[in-house]
Amino acid sequence: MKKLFLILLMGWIMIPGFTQSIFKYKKLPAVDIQDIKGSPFNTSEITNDGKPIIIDFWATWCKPCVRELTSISDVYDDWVKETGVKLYAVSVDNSRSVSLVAPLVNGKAWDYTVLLDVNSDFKRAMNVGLIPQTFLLNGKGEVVWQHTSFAEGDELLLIDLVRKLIKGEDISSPDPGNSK
Amino acid sequence: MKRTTYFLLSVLLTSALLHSCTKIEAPYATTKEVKADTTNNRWVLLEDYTGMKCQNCPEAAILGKTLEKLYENQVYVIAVHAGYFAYPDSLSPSSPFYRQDFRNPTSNTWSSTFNVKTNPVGNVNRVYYNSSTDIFMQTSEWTGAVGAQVKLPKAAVISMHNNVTITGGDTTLSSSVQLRFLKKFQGSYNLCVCIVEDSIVGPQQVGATVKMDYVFNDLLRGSINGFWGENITSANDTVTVIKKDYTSRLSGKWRTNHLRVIAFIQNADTKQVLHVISKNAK
Amino acid sequence: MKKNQNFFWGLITTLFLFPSIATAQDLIKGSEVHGNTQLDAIYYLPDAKLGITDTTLDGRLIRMNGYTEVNYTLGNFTAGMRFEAYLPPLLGYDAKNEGLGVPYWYVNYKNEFLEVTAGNFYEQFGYGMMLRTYQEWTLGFDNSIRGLRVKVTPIKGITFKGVYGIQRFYWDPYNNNTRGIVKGFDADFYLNDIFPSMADSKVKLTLGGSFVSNFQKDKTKDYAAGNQILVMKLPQNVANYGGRFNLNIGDFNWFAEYAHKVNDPSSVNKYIYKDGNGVFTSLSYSTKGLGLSLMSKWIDNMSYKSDRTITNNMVDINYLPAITKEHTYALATMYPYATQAKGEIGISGTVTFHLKKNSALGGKTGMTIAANFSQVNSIIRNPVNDIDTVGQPGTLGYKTKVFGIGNEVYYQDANLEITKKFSKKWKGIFTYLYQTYNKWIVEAHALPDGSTTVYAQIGVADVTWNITKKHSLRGELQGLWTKQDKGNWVAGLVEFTIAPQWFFSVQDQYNYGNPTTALRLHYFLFSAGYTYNSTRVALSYGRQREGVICVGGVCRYVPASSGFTLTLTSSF
Repeated sequence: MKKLFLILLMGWIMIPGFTQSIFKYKKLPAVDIQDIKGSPFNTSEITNDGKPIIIDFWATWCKPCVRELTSISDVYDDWVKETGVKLYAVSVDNSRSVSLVAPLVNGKAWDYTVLLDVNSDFKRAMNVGLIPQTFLLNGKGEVVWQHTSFAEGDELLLIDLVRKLIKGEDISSPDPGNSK
Repeated sequence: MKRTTYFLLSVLLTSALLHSCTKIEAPYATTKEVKADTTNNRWVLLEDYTGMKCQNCPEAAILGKTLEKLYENQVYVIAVHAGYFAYPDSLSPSSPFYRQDFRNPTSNTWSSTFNVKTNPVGNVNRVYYNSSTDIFMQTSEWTGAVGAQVKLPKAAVISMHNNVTITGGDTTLSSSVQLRFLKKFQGSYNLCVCIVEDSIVGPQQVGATVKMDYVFNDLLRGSINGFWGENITSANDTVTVIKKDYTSRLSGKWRTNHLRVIAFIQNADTKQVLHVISKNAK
Repeated sequence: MKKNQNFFWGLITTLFLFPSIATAQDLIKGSEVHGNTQLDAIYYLPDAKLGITDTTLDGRLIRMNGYTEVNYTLGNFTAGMRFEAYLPPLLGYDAKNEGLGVPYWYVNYKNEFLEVTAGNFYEQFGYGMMLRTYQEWTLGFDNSIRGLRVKVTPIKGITFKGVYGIQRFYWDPYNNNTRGIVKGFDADFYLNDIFPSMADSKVKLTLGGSFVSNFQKDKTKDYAAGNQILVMKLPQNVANYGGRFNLNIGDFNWFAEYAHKVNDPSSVNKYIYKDGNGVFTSLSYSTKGLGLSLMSKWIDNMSYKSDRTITNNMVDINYLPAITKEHTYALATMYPYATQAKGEIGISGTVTFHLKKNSALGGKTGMTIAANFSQVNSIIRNPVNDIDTVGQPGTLGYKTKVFGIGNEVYYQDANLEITKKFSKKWKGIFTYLYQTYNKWIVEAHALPDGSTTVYAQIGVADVTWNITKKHSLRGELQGLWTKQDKGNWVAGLVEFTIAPQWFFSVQDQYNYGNPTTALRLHYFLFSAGYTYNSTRVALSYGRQREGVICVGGVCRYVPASSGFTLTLTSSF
């Protein structure tokens, strides 16, 4: 048992090493979810006229998620003006709190395109474990970067990456330590 | 493509709707009388894993007693106190009453070997019932499981004589068990002899309240011949009379007039119980 | 276990090496491999003050829960599996989890008209009161169905779904006598897509209906009572059906779901034969700067499981959401509420508004205020006749009044949350809660004096200081005041983050008001974590207080513990 435990532990630690930065989604999975009005929405409709897209998985009860989206909200207007980026905030609130999403989004005056993923179908398809998790897509709709958790200042790295994308720079393995 | 899908879907739907709702009309239950058959049928062990801090356990104890009465002299309960709900608290304010420690090496060993984590749960003759992986079940399953076991033919004849002697400060129990198999059995079998105590008064969680003068019965004090008993040869022979004698010193805290000895034959590997007997210690 | 060892080694190799092999060879053009993984491992330390000894830990100090999920997509096909290992499970998870294997796998084909899944799947009909299968790793909850799912979209706006299969129960293989076969059908109509005339209408309407049934083989059940045996007739098929709508008009949104369950005697309801009913509705209004929401729910005998003998969280077919607010601050989660499937009636209201920058109250930087109130009571239960008592097994059970409010308060929560930005560098969230918590109903534990209810006031100040663009410091100060249960608590946390990689935190919860002096303990916890893109490693050392973790109204008890914790998550 102990041997098995150790081998598994090592295996688990190796997974991120193997896989990190290797697998980029070439195409978003097409999953049927809802828009904020409860109307059907297929995730293949996540587009932004060839400009970068941010997809952020969050929930009303997740404090770091709300902090992240609040921080971005303060500068989102400037981001859009500068880069044309569009943020899709995918709420994974289930039927318990799904009706709190719109009041919270509007209550906080957020300008994002909010989607409802009530049984985490899209979250599962995107292999999201913990939230918040952020995906950055380039103009072709390919995922070029993803990040889990939130720390104050993360949003600055995100917009830096968006700027690089617009300039056509390669960000497949950004060195976050050197970003401003 | 579409046509096939519609066809499959309509078949699925029709079958689902046609056979998918059973409405039971009153009366929802009938009653039946049952009788113990101690001559021809197997005697049955009902193990009730319990604890003084488990609020639903008294209900289970009552059910155990009911089954004992329904199948008089054919069903015997052992109340095994072990694990979280039997853990005496000297510190926790949420249970300032539970000072008594009913756990013992035998109950701890059984509980951890069988991996019992919730209370109340029980098993009947340590045999699977409506499950292929777990011999333990909720109280709602006990009646059915007992009903299935009491119908089985008797596997052995068994008799027991006990005596308690007090010399000086020492209390000594001597037990003599005689048994003979009625059918040939493959595998290795053990005879396990245990002591239980009845009518112990103490606090027990009953629903939302603590009952200070709750009466504990069938409480396992321990085994006198090892946690899993002693190996008995000749299980594949219906002639030999196996005789086992035990003497053991009893704890002075136990009240000898409330002690009983329960002996059972079990498969050494599967722990499955074949037959059981209970007699007063004196 | 030994017999399967070769299989396990093969499996482990596949899971850990497959991703790299797959990329190296770039198997087939257009294919994608993705997945995610999580590992929670704890090295438990005996802690005399918490009453934890080697014995209470079963001598198994190192425990882990872990999973790896890998999904492979090629064109219209997707296939995937999840490997799980509990060696042994962390404290607070059912011991039946112990072991390792692949409890979840599937093959899926999907085009615009049709989607077919074979294997395990997660599915939700409407708001879930008839059927919802999902997985919640932190709860150890997984009620996935293994079988077949078909989803058809004949025209835009109409969706039909059919499911057939059996639910997961730990590692138990399917056994004909126990778990039932779940069948379900769901139809969903989004009228604005169906009728071209409504396409641009401001009024958006969705209608839906579901029918679910569970088949179990047994026709009777014996139940000893008094001096005889009750032979109860069992319904082999238990149906649960209902309908729903979602109406959206501009800033208003209203949805409701109704479910009706036909006789379902089970261990949960102690074998009563009454039908179950449930209504769940929510009305919300929101416009820029203001959000209002009102929810209410009435549940009567609505536990619905695919094995009537199971009483814990497993094999739930339906989902009964709690409507109370989900809190996340440490002390605010001391008394969390979980839906009482046997019956409850509740209401919840939330107001969120944003005071603009440069307004009188909003100050220079603006301010968000959220207020929430919720209350859940028992339902009315009257005897069916003069002979039988309420809830007596083998009878109808009781009579209820639709939307009737019972006397017993299960839960009440009034809370206020103010989010305020003071300057570019400073911001804070301030929360006050007043909670009434029926410990007996929710946890089945009474208080020491035999009473059942805890009244608690909780205050939280959460302040963030952005020292530089990358460095920030966050502090939390929390207090919980109650005369019942474990008495008063105070808690503090300091968290330092260096974006986007590092975090360090120190926290303490101090039960200074415990009526037992020996239990006035500190629960210190030191944590550090490192995040690189979508991989996160966190290590912590310290004490964990006893508590109940709830997600979406489903809860898991976690015993007090002490030790080192390693958490690793990654998605790829």
